[in-house]
Amino acid sequence: MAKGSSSNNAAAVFGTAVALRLALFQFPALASLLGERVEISTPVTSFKRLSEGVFLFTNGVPPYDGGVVHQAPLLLGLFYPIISSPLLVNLLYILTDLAIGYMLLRITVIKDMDYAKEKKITQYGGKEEEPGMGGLSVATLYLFNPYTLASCIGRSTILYSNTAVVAAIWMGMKGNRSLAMFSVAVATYLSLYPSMLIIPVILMLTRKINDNDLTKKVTIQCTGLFAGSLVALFALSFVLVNSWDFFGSVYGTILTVSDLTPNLGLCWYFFIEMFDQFRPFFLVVFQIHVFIFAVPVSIKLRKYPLFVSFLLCAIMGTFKGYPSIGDASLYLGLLPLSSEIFKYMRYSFLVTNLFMYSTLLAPIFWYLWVYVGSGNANFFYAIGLVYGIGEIILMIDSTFAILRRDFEAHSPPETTGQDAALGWDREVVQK
Amino acid sequence: MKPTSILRYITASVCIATTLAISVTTNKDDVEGFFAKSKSQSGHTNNWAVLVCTSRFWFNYRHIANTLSMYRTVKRLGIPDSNIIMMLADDVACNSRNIFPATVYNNRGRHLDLYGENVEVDYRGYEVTVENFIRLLTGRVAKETPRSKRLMTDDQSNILIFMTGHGGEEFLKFQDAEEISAYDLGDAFQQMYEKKRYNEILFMIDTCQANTMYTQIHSPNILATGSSKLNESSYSHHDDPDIGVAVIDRFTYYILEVLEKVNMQSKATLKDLFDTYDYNLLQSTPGVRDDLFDRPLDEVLLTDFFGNVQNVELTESKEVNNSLTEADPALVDSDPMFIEDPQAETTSSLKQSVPWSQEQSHTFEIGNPDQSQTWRFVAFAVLSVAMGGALFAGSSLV
Amino acid sequence: MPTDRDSMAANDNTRRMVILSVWAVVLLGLPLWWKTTRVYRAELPYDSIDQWNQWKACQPKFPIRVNLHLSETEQQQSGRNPELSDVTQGVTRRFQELNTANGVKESLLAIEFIAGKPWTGSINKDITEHTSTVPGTYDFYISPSNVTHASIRSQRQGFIQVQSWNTDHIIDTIVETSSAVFGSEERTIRQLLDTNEDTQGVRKVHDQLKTVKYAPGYQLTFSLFSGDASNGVREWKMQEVIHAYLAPFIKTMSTVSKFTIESQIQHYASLAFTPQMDYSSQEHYLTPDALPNFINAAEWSLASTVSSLPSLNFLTYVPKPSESPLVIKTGPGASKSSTNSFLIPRWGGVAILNRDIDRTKRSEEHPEVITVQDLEPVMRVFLTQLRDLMGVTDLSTTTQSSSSFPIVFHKSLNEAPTTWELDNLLRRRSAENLVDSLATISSLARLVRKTPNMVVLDHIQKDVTEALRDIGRSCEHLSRQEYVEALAASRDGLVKSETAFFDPTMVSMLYFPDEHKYAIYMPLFVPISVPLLMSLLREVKRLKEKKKQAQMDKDSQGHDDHDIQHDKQE
Repeated sequence: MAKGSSSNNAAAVFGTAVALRLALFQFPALASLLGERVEISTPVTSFKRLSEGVFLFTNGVPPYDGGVVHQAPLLLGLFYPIISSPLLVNLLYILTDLAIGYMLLRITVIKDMDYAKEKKITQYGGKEEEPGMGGLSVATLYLFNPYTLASCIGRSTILYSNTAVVAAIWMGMKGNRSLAMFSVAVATYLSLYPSMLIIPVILMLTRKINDNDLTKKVTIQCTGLFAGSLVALFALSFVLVNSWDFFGSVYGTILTVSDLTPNLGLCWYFFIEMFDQFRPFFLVVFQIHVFIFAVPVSIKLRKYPLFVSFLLCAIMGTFKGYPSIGDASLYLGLLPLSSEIFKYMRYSFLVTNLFMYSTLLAPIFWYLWVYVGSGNANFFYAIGLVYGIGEIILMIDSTFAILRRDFEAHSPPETTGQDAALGWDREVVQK
Repeated sequence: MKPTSILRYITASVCIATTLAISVTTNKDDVEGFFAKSKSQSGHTNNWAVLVCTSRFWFNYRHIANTLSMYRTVKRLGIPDSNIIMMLADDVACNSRNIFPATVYNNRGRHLDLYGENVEVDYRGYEVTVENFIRLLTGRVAKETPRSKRLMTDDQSNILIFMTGHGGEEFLKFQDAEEISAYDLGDAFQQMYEKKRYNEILFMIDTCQANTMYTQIHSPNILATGSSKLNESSYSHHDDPDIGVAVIDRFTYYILEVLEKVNMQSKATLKDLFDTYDYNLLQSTPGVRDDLFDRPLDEVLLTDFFGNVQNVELTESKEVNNSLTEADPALVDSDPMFIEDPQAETTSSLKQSVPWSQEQSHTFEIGNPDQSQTWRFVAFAVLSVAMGGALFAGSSLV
Repeated sequence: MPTDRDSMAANDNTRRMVILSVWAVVLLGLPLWWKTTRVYRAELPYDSIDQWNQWKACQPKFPIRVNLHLSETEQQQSGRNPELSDVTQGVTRRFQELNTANGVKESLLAIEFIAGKPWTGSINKDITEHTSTVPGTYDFYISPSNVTHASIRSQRQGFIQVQSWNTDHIIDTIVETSSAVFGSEERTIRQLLDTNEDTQGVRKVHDQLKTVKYAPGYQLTFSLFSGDASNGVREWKMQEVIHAYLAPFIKTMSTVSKFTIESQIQHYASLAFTPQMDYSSQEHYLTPDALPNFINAAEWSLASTVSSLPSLNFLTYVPKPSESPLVIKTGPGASKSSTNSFLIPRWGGVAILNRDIDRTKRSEEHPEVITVQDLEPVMRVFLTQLRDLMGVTDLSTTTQSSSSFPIVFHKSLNEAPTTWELDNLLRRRSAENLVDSLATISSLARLVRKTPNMVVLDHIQKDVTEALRDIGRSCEHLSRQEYVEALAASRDGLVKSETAFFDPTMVSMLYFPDEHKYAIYMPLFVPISVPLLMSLLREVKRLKEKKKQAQMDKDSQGHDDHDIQHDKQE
């Protein structure tokens, strides 16, 4: 009966998600409005630019010549046969979104199995720690997240990159090396930054192996698989567009942040204000900054690869050149996978408010700046800053929470008596 | 023997000589009138004006009014729009707080709408940046920049540069976001000098501590004047209670008062203008820097900078010039060589086609959309499917 | 106890690894950062620029060949046969003497006199067709006559008649004619190429004030401004007029510059002021004083925004009936300007065209059309003005009256430059371009040297190097008497040097002292480097302590076996 009700529930959740999206797609004005929002569509994820690319491709004009299209060629290939039918395009978006929800559900199931084998943390009153959220809740949180919805209705192509990331995590948890690595390669191929996810995914793949040599072997094998898949994807792209121009246009744009259309991130403003002669320096600083966390975080939290992937996704979504709320929807979807840390988080209220604040004010300030002219670029940038601060607090807070939980697991506090009451407040001190 | 030639030669030399203030022995009176016209002493043949308002926002209404007043004046005195580069950092005329929409006034009486019907703003709003200003002066503009945004001056151009905004010691704010330093300005002028982009420059600036802005100029033939000295503010003149903000600055106001009396034929000099500077009126100490400037100020006409007064040269009659051929009839008679050259002259061929306009047509080749792309896509799809199959097979094997 | 120690060791390891990985990235980033903060400066060829500035790399020479032809009929008739070789040598020697007298070591216009074929002494088809097509090569035909006289024909030919048929007199006449033709040009070019700082002021004096700067292309705008619709002017036959009058000029000049031509008509173009009235002659008149204000800049749209070529304006003004006829004169009763037109230096020309009311009446069908014939005098004026603006030297006017005999210069069709004038222009414009592009390059070099934090990209270096190469090429062409090629090369050099100078990337040189740089880097580096350094220091300190601990452990070796075993396990 329990199983039946859960599958019923799942059907209800996914059914509602589809219905909601279908209903929202019924208003083409809404889709195009959201598609034009800078918070949703960045130069590298805009559906409009993708359509332009497909149009150019269809007409035999090299799509990457004009400096408009920055999306990977395989996306052109994906949309080439269906672009003429809005229904098919919308269905593709809806299904992809649902697929992410489904994969999150599956990941939770695998994680729960892992969790069952783990040593339980004893809590105040001698109780065992309760298991985290169920898969359906995680999927629901993703599918009904307003950011996810807006990103899906705005047809941002970040969705496909997100799908690849989640698929990589799923396959990593499942232990399927080639598919996991292939998924990481696809994500990398689509938006470059997810390349650093190779580390947590390898951690997932090797989490059950205790043999050091075997771990090394698997790691090397995985790296090879990743490189091979990437090369294959590039070759496939070349077959499709018959030139290597896409490298500069796709990855060059991502790395050099050459299109300075405002977005929620911080780079555009810096690079607009900056004297040209400092640009290369700060470009390198910013790009290295995105990647610098990958290794230390993975080392420190190697026991929690799911959390590492969440953290890396959040770092990408905050510091990359063209962040959008699609990135936020990804890491906010991955966060509930580590739901057991929620009770250790202290700033949830602040973070929620910061997100809501920036979400509400960003369009208003944009309007004041661009249309009314009574504001200026600083207004919108300030909102980007608030949003960024929210993201950073979320990252710090969740990292603190997982470390705290880790500490609790290793040195269980007193669970009864007066010390116990103090115990929950004691500071996590590194020994 | 050929009087016109001689006359013309003398005329030319007189023009040149007077322009460069080199004394010549030729009696000028002989050639006064028709053929000697050397009105300008400065040796310039064209006038340019660069008028810059660097402030944004409604409460800086007066800066826009300053600039527009100056624009109106130079235009009235004959500088064509094509030679005026106007940079306005904001558009107060269309500001929603302006209760007289689409107008800008510089006077409480609101007699004259400066915005009028024929105002050409070349750089507006966020285009007014330090970089654009420096690029404009040095000529280092992007290739696609239109003519109206270029300062196409040469070694015979007199340039009036008027700037107004909020400044401080050796800097002037642009747009409330960035600033130009006196060094930048000095460097830009030096580069203009190096590339012979001007004959003379009159640099006027109306801002707080304005005189510090011209301290770093070191290129010759630049005359500079500013509204206030170091540690001194410049003040607005009066406000308009209906508009609600000050409408003009003192320095500009009193300069305009002088310029309003000047017309194109005026012989008023810069000295006359500088002599009207009065601390009691301006409530700041205006400054003039003329150590880089060669000519004495009482010989520099206001119209050398504010107007467009050029040397003109009357064209002589062709007949007079050709009379040389008939000058010595005896020669012509006696000489067999004066038969007409067979190849040249006299016959005007009406139907001569001229090869100067050969339009080049560019064709943009578009590949065959249907076949090649479909083929490509099919190959791509087949390969993808093959790859996917291999992956799944491989993964299930592993 | 052991587990605690294990986890501590593991913790230590983890921490060390974390610090190491962060430092690794930082160290990896350092060369990149160093590279990106460096001000990129492509090296400009300073040495060769300096060499060029003194004309050390190549001294421009303008060789000219003059073939002398003596009349052979005269030679036969009279016994006194002036030897052609004597004449040639004599002329050459005389030129050298002239140069030494003027203190000039070497003439820039290296005129070489060559003995040519004798001729019959009468102009026949043979001679008029045998014309030199090489710029810089000329033929002088010398014959005796009863009066000394020279006639410079449009086709690189000069006919000199001498009164007395002896070698000395022939030499005198040739020398005088040659100086008349080439003398002023030599002076102009010498002044142009003068690199001496002291005399540079003089150069400006002789710069033609009205001549526009050289450009590979110009835009000519012909405008018809009609004061009032009531003067009945609707259209003008500009297209035909251009074909009829302008075509030869444009065609001849095309080796120097290309022209784009456009025309416009503007009605109701009133003057900014009212002309004065001379009641005695029933004429409205403008004094020369008023002419500078003639152009009503505020209302007449004369500037083209389409092309970025330098433009020259030619303005035909048809006054309104109430101000007709409009003439230019100094005052009432004074004689009026014969052409009713004037030139504005470097800008263009203006002609006032009075429509003859009677004529318009009798003009059969279309009184509102200004015909080709109507425009003929105007176009003549414009062509003269265009010649002035383009720097075509009218040889007859530059030649000073110092010669002891008349020299007549023939003109060619419709004011088009003659071959003499064209060659003159080619040489002068080449010299000008050489000087201009070198000046541009050296000011660029000065600029780059003076501002050490200015970025100089590779393409600037490339442009400068190429410009120098073009200048060298032009100089070589000049010395080989290939004037057309020389001008083309100098034009390339000019364009490239200006491209380099005006390159948009050359502006990154705002005033930027080093302390500003610290202000930029400090806020970034201090917050980053403090925790990095602190953690590193702490780690080092810990390692030291651990060593000390190990030492102490070693000291207490004998006392505690258990501990030793444990160490071994580790």
